[in-house]
Amino acid sequence: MVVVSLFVLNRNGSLIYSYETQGSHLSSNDKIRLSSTFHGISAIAAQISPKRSGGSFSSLQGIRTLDADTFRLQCFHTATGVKIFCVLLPPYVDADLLLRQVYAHYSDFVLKNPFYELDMPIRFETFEKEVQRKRKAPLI
Amino acid sequence: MIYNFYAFGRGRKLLCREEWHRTRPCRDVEEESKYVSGLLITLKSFCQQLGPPRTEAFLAYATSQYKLHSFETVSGYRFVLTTDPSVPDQQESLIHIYQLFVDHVIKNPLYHLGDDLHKCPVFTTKLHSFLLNRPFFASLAS
Repeated sequence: MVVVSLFVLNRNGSLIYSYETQGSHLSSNDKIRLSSTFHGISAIAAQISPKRSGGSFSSLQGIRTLDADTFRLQCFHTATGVKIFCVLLPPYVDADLLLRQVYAHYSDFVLKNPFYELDMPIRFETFEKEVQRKRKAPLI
Repeated sequence: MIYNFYAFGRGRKLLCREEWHRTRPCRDVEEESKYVSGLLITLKSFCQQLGPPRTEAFLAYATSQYKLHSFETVSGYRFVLTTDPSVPDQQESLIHIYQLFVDHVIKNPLYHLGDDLHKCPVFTTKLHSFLLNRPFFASLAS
C-alpha cells in the first residue's frame, strides 16, 4: 500500500498534523489550504445528499473516498468532528485500518497528554513515531 | 439505485436535471445545482493540486449515503450521476451519455448552445431508457 500523505484535521477544519513522503511538492501553506478546502467540500457533499439520513451524526456523512485519475483519497470521520485522511497511489488497498489506528494513537498519545491544548497542532514525538511505524506496517 | 443526473454546460449553466428515488426532496433546484457545479470546479482544482503531477480529472467521491460520479469533457461540459455508494465506476456510462448528447443535441440544428436539454426530446428519451436499463437503477447494488 503506497500512502503518499496523511492529514489530521480538527473540528473546525484546520490542519493539526500532516505527513508526506518524498514525492510531495506542497508547501506548508498549501497543505493547510488544501486540507481546509477538503473540510468545506466534505460539508457541502453531506448537504446535497439525495438520501434522507437515518439520524446519524452529520459529521459521519462527509466524503469517505474520493477518486481522481491518478490517486485516491480516503477519509475517516470521527464522531467528534475530527477528520483523518490519507492520499493513496495505485494499486489501491483499503486504508480504513490504518486510519483507525491513527485515530487510536491520536486518542492515546495526544488527547491523553495533559499538556495538549485541544484543536492545536500536534507536536508530539511519540505520536509521530507510532504513526510512521503504522504507515509502514499497518497490520501490526 | 440511481438518484440524480445533472448536465452542466459552459459557465456552470445547468442544462438538464433528472431525479429518481430521492428520499430527501430537493427544496431549491437552483441552489442545489449551484452547489453541485461549484463542488465540481473545486474538486477538480483540489485534485490537481493535491495529487501527483499530471493529475487531470476528478472521477468520483463517495459518502456513507451516496456516490457522485462526474465526467468532464475537454470542451467544458460536465455530466454528473449520483447513485448509492456500492455502485461501481460509471465513467463508461457517462461517456455513453456524452455520446448521446453529441449525437442528439449538438448535431441538432435547431438546438442553440446553452438551451435546456428538454428541447431535444430524443435525447431525454434515450437518456431515460439507458439509465432505466442499468441493473442497479431501482435496487441497491449488492
